[in-house]
Amino acid sequence: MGLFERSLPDVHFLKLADDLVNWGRSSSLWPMTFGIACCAIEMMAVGASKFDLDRFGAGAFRATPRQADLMIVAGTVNAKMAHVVKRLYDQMPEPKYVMAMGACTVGGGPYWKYGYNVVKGIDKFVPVDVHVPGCPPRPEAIIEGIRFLQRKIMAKRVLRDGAEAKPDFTGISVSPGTVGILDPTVRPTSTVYAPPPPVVAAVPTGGHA
Amino acid sequence: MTTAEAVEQLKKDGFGDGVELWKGPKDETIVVARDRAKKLLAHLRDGRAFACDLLVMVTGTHMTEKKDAKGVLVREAGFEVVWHLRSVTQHHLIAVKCKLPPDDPRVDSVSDLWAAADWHERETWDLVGIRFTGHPNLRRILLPEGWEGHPLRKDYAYPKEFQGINLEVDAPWPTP
Amino acid sequence: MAHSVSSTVSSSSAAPAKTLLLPGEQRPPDVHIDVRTQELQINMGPQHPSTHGVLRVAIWVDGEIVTRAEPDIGYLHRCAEKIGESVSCIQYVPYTDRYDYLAAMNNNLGYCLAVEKVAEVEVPEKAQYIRVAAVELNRIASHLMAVGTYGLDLGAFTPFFYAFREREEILRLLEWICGARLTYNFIRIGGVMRDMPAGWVEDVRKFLDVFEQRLDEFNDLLTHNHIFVARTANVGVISPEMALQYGLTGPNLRGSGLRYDLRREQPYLMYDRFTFDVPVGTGIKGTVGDCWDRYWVRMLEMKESARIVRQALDQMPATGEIMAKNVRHLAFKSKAGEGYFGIENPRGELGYYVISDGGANSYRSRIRAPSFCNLSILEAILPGTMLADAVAIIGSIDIVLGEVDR
Repeated sequence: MGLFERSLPDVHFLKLADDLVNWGRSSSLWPMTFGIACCAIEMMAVGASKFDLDRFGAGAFRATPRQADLMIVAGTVNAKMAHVVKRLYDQMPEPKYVMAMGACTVGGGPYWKYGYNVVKGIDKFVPVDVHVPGCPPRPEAIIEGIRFLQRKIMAKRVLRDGAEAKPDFTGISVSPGTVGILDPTVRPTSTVYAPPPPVVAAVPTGGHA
Repeated sequence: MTTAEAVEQLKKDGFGDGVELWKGPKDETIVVARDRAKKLLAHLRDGRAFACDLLVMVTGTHMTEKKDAKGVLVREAGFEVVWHLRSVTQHHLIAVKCKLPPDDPRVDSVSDLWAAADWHERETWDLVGIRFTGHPNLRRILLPEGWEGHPLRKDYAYPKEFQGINLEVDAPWPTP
Repeated sequence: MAHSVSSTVSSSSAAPAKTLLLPGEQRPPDVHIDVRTQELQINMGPQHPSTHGVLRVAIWVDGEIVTRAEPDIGYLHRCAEKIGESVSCIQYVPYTDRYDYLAAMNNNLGYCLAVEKVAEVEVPEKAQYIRVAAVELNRIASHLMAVGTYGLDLGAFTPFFYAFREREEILRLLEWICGARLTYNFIRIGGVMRDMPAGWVEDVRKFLDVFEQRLDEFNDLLTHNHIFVARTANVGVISPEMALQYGLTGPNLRGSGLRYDLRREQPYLMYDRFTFDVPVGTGIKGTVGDCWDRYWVRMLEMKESARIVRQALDQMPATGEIMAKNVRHLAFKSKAGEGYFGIENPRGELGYYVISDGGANSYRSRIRAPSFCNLSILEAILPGTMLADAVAIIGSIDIVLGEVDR
């Protein structure tokens, strides 16, 4: 992710280094405890002992976004909550991933038609890496979503290319019946999701230079 | 006691005028005029025969006019407020209803009689738009501050966006 | 806004028994420092590990003492009552699951009973027994979640996993009967969705046989633990008069000593045919109406629910219809009228007030959510407590934000 200014030739050593970095990142995803609604209960169940998310490395749930790298948005996001979700996403340090868990975050869920203040899908304002449909998704489906995210991270070319590149595989969907994965290189930009303005330090006038 | 017995008792206690029994269907309800509502509710709370110490909920409904197939008016236009009261000591549930005109939905607040009414009345104001006079803090509780309109009215138009958040149904992807 | 409070702090009070003085040294003179404190406003939530959902409580603290608290809700408002008017009664039943998602069977039941009251639908007996079994199993699951996460809020990690072990077993049984773990859509208007599969009753009995020992295990872990008792006894005392004023119902009201249970007051389903006790708080560890009492009422209610399920399975007729005859699902029309029905949810009185004008949709369906009323007491009860106690009090009220915001 920008460690080298220009892309280096695709040597085997860099692929191994990439694999090491990606293995570290994907095997220790730290989710943020961000349960909003019913899906939060299934998220707790997947962290409990029967379905044990900890064996995949993603068991250390952090309460603060500053220490988390995976935001599992579990539950319906409405107009009042959307600003909060966006602020929490902005507070997470890079590299960060977002899992849209449950039908409400994927496309509005059961509230898609008559919910006047429900946001129909969180990808309207945060970029999503994996969508897990279900209402609520079974713990096994959440684990499948985590595994999908892990494979996606393993396919990244962190050191080889300077920027985010397309993964080596395509067409894998999380559950049968979904349309297909989101193209990870296209981050939907909207008027809401704009990066925070750069901090401009005051330049002292005269004297020093 | 049943609601019919309650109305009889109220008539004996001197609350006869402005109060009548609505026989359903399905629930029998006491119907009261708007300006007498609070006195009646205070009596229901304090009267020994009633002792309604638990306010279950306050409901507001926006009614639109409806005529049946023969043209007879089945439902008047306006608003309706229903208070459901329970008595823990006397083991009964009493419903009290009040009809409000469509252009002026105001009724007295009972938040000084039961503290539970505070939030119920705020919610009714938020979603239906019925104003409770005398309420200490009548502002929106469920919808965000700055939301326009009262959604549970029958003529409510769904908003397309709110403070930059896209709320449209089947909206296209935002273009980069 | 900042509010200056000044207090004086003196650096030494009575001379301690052992002082760190060398022989011949004098005790240093007392120092008086004028410390100016300010009232600080902090936000608890909406993203917080202990608020049981997206609740924001704006707390004004002076040091550690809370001076004012204002709950801010609406972060999960999902337009429930508008949807109740927009979709038909039959289609609305799955939406009711999602308000109190921990006790979804109870939500289904409340709505179906209200609509059946207005539409005058008679539910067959076997369906009623199945309803009771499902609802009471869900009550046990909901209370397990409540006590498990209450321990988690106060820092006890292990009881959470023990509670979830039992809860997973109940969820397996409920998934077996209706296909879903959390949002069941099992209790439909007129009866239940399907009959019990072969072997279900035996498995429920096996679960109930071991459940009581597991509850005792849980008690050993959490209930009589010194730290837990110190954090919950005499904390958040709610008097019965205050509870009634604020509309508290359910274990919160019973924790304050009032033996009021809707299953006894107006027996719906078959509750008048079962024998069960209604536990109340008696102030064993502290004062009547403190957090420990509310927690203990939930623990005892789980035992009572297990008794009720056993009796329901014993008394259930072997054969019978599971759905009323006069409910045509594809073209269900209710009768014109209005009715209120209140049931005993694990959190209190859950009521549905349905106004129907004879069509497929209801004209208005208002939900009386117990957690909405229970939460309003926070404004009155938090001022004067310590900030750490605020977590204990919010956990003991046992709210579910899906129900508060609907």
